[in-house]
Amino acid sequence: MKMLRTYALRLAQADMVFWLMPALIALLLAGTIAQKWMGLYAAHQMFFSSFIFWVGPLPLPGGYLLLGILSINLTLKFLLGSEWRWSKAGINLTHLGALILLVGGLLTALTAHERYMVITEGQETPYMYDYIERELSIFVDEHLKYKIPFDKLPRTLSTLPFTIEIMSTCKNCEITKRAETQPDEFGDTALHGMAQFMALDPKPREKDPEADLSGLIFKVDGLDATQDGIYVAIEGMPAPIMLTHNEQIYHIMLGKAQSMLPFSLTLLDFVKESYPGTDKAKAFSSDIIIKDGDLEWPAKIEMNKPLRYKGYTFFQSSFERAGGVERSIFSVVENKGRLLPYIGTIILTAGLLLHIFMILRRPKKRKAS
Amino acid sequence: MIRLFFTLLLFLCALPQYARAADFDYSAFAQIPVLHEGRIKPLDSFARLHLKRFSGQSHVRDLSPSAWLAQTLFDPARATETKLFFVQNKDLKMQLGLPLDQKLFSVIELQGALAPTLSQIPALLAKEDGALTPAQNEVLQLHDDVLQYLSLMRSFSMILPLNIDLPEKYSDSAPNYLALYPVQDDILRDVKRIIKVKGDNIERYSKDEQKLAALSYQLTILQNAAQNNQSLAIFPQGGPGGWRAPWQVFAHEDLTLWQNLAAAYRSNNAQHWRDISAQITQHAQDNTSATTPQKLKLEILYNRLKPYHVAMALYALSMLLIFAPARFIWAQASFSLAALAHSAAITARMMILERPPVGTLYESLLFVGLITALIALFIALKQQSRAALFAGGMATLLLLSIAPYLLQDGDSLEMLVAVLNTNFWLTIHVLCITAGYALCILSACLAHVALFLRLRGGAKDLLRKLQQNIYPISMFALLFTAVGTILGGIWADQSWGRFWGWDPKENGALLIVLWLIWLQHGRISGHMKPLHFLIGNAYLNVIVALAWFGVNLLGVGLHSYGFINGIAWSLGLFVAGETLLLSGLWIMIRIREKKPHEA
Repeated sequence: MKMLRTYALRLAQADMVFWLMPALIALLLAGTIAQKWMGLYAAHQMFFSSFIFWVGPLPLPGGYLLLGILSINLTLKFLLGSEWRWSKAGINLTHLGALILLVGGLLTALTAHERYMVITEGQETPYMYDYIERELSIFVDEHLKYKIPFDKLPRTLSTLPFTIEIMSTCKNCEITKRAETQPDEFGDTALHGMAQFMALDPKPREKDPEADLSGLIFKVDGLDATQDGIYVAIEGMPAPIMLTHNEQIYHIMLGKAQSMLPFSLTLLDFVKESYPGTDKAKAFSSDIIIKDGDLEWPAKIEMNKPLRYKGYTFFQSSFERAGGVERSIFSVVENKGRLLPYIGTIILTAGLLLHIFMILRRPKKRKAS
Repeated sequence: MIRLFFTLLLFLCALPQYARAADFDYSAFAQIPVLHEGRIKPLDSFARLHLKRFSGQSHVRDLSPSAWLAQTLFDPARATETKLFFVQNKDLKMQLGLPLDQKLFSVIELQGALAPTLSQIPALLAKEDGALTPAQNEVLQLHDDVLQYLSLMRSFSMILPLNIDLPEKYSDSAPNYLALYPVQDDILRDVKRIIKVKGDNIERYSKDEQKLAALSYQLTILQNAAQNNQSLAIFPQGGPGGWRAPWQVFAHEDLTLWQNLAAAYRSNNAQHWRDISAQITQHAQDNTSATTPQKLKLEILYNRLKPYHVAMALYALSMLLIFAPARFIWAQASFSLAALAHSAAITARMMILERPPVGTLYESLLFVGLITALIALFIALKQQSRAALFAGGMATLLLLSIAPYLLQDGDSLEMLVAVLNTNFWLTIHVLCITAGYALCILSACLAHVALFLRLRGGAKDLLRKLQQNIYPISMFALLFTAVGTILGGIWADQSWGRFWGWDPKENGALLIVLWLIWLQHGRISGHMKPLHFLIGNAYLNVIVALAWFGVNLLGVGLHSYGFINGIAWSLGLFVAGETLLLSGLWIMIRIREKKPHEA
């Protein structure tokens, strides 16, 4: 017990911060500069959302590890190492504020989910899409029956009355022309739909994972001869792949992972306001109607003025204008740690102010004594 | 289209020249409001921006910006000969066949030189930004400038006299487009009838018929070239977005005042010019609620006084006075006046733009400079510290002298893009961060002074006092940068839905915070000796520069609003220089302070 306390006290020392900071600074610099080449998302994943990352054979501490140690150090310092005197109140408060910020960061990292919605003027939808995750969805007679995350596709799908065998997948695909002269990699198996003239080659991921074009090639078995064979599915296909079995229609689609809000939004009007005489945007806003059960009421989502409802926050993130039709794009964020930064900031600010106040008063005291 | 402009230019050049407007009073003309780049501004600012853009200078020859604009609008013939366009690139001059030792060129000279490059333009435009050579970039820029200039020059072409004899039928009319516009269809019909009867060989026409054909041709050319000419949105029409250029409103708006103004200019009548321009100013100001005469006057005053130059001169003076054998109060007084001019300048900007003081990279430099100066002044007044005044003054001078280089096209006092246009958070977060920058820079400059003092030896009291100052300043810096950074997160959460995204600018701000935390904890844990603490503080300059400008070089993320080309080298040089200087100081101080022990 005594030993534990010794270790704990050691971990609570200020020099822990002294040793940790250079590592954090180096990580921060590396992670920032790497964004230029890797893109924000990939650099974020590699440097900041990791415990350890590898540079060649060398393991280096990632953001989670360093911030984790810092949190332990701060917690122990706050609980065991704080001097509970009036003159140290500023420092103690500052440390508490920083700790709350770190906990908020952890909670956000664990719970926050960011998705987006695209709504055309006049349309109502409860659906939102993931920026990053893709999924394969199968509809039977227009009803969604299966949803399989792209990363968790099994080799064969046998829950259907026919089998689907995944031949190959690519998270970011290059669409190439299937040369007729090229010896057929699938032997005698028939090619259907786009597969007849299209092949997919994996290519490096885009800097922005949202821009990846995912795709897969699969083989259908167990239907009739006109339908068995090879199919190609890519994200954003104009029409889903259609199969029929026992007069039931199966639709197969690949796209951004979809989920549903417990309510729906209708876009009435999207407005873009520019500075007079220029194209420079001054403000964007969307007039919407929220429909939750039997209730419905109007609301407005503006740039910099999001809508918050039932733990979801909707932001005007973008818009599309094509063929006289306007579409609003909202990002939808769920974050359970939202409040902590606000609390943390207030405490931290108060603490630092108090501490500086103490420092500035100190010399006068000496003079007086 | 471009060919058409040049054809028109020939017409304009053929106009009779008789205007000579030397002793004109341009003060009322300068105040006429115009809508430009999303904001109502006085013609003075409009003229300055264009002049700066074309020539890189604030005056051409003896013409003030307003005088230059008046010449451009009302005496195009002379304006085409004014040496206006700045061409710097030697390769480009060679390629265009322009004399190498000449810097400024008239539009006539450029027109001839640029004509052969017209065919290259589509190919150049199709290339990506980075793929162009400096000369190619300048060719594009030059074409664009010339087009813009011609369009500006044609803004009032409907009221300028045409260099033509009117046919008998229309000889009662004034020889300008505006007067002939109502009968333009008749003229066209007449010409068509002549062609029907006599064919299109002009030699078979009678004298009067020739005049008619020439007139019709000129009117058509003038009209075609002026279509969509919106360069000079000078007529208030309804709402704030409803300002229109002369060619958009001439059909229904009364242009008499402007016609009289042009006539006064061209007949060199200074009295008329002054009276009529005052009338126009009055009329325009009566017809819009988008701005006030006070605001326009303030902006003109701001343009004329160049308060930052005044402030810089006074800061420089106070730096000299610190070392002069004069009482310290003179240096303090000069510094105070400088800070006053500096504050007045920033306040004027806020009033003109109706927004918080920091929205662009340029403005952040001005603001950080002011905060640095004010804190330094506060310490210098309170403690009679020459070192603090010197450190603050040098830092501010440096910041103010870098600032103009961050403006590529002159100070347009521009409006902000939508994401940044949220006054509350913009104020709180940006001001907090920039105040943090200012404190860091002051702390760093004080640390520099302290290091030099320590190297020189002696002055122990002064050194101790400096160190006592640095500690709370770097604590304040931590407060402002930390709170500012987190507030940035809160702003992001409020506006874009994510608290922290590891965006380069956010990371830059965090970098400063981590550095300051490191210094404080190093000092407290005893791992950092006072000398190292000083050096760490001095290096804050580099950390701040990286966070401030370095991240813009990456050009990724939400904050790339302040992206600038060509700053990389200066930044690299600064970082390398500071690193060398500080490691040099460190080594020299260590050598110096070891010697007595050995002896």
